[in-house]
Amino acid sequence: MSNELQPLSDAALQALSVERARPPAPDEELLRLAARLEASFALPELAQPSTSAPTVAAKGLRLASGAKVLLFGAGLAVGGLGGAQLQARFGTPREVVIERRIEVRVPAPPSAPPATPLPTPEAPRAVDAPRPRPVEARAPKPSPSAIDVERLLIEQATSALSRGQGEQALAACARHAEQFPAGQLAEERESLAIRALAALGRGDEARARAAAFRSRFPDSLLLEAVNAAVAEPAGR
Amino acid sequence: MSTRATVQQAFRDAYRQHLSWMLHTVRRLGVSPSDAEDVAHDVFSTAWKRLDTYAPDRPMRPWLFGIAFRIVSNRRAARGGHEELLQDFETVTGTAHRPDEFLEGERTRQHVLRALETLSVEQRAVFVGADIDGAPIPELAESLEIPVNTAYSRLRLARQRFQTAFDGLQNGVRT
Repeated sequence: MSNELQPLSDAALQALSVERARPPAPDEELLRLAARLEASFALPELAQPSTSAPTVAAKGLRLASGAKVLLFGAGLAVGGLGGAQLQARFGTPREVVIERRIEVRVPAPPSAPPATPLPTPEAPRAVDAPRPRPVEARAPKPSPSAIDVERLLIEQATSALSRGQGEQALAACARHAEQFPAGQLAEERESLAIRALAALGRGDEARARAAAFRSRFPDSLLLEAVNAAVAEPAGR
Repeated sequence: MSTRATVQQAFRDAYRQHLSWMLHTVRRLGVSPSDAEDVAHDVFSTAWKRLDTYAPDRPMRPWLFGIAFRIVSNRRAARGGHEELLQDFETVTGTAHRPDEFLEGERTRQHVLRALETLSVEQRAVFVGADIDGAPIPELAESLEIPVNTAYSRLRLARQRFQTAFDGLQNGVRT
């Protein structure tokens, strides 16, 4: 069988290139999705005996032996990954901090029994006994902090640059500069923008921005990468 | 670190680079904007559970693409083959310097998505993988778990249908 393919028209190819360059999904959506995923990645580990169990219990899980336990919703507040945890996740990828909170209602016993191993949670059901206040209700969706958004934009720029998509990298840097002109990751942004400009062959702009970078961040660890990006090819 | 833990860590270090692409991909495969995030979540969750099939030394996207195709395909089958609604509220963001340029681009992108609607999900997967993502056909065939000749055959039909639908949309706009 022949594998020859009929080419698309120029207009269709042009349209596909526009679709290919579709702007990135909104930061809010990306952060929300990342938070949901981090929470779900952590779920299987709950079932395994590990050192994390006491940590979970210490987060405020109050369970009594024989008590009727009500788990609200799915039990786990999957969206309970707050901005600080995202920051920790994004900043130090190998040290994941995921706060799992379980909303429970425990009938007030006459006297609290000693701590025992965690019982298997039951399906949600009504309990007639008097109920104390639920343990700390949480909003299901995380609210990303400024540093989360900064990190995401920088990641987008880094990722685009690594794929050779200089325009997209530059666009992510521009969005960062617009939202966080003096942000915590401004130094990283500037170095990425310089590298993107150099990759796009916009040497004059790259060199001008590199000069500003040296002046603004004279002790930067990124200076070497910046200088390499704008260095004249040997022999010129 | 155990091998499984190493693979898990490699996945967690890398998956975030593909979130935006995956959201776009599931849209191109026919998922409505309002469901795209949930489907993308399903894709990465499934990938996490199937890390035994992931090779960290190989590109992640083809592997994720195959998972996305199967999830969208199963989802479509569960709905009795019915198409999802494309026209749905969608947040559109852009960085174009000129709003008219951005709107023109957005109209073009809508035409692409509408033309894609005329393809079966199997044709669409090959078309999206090859003609939008630029994946080589043999790699794509492996991701989709189909013979290479089948991939070529689907792409040939997909291009014909896409071209016809796209031309119709373009002409409809200009008349």
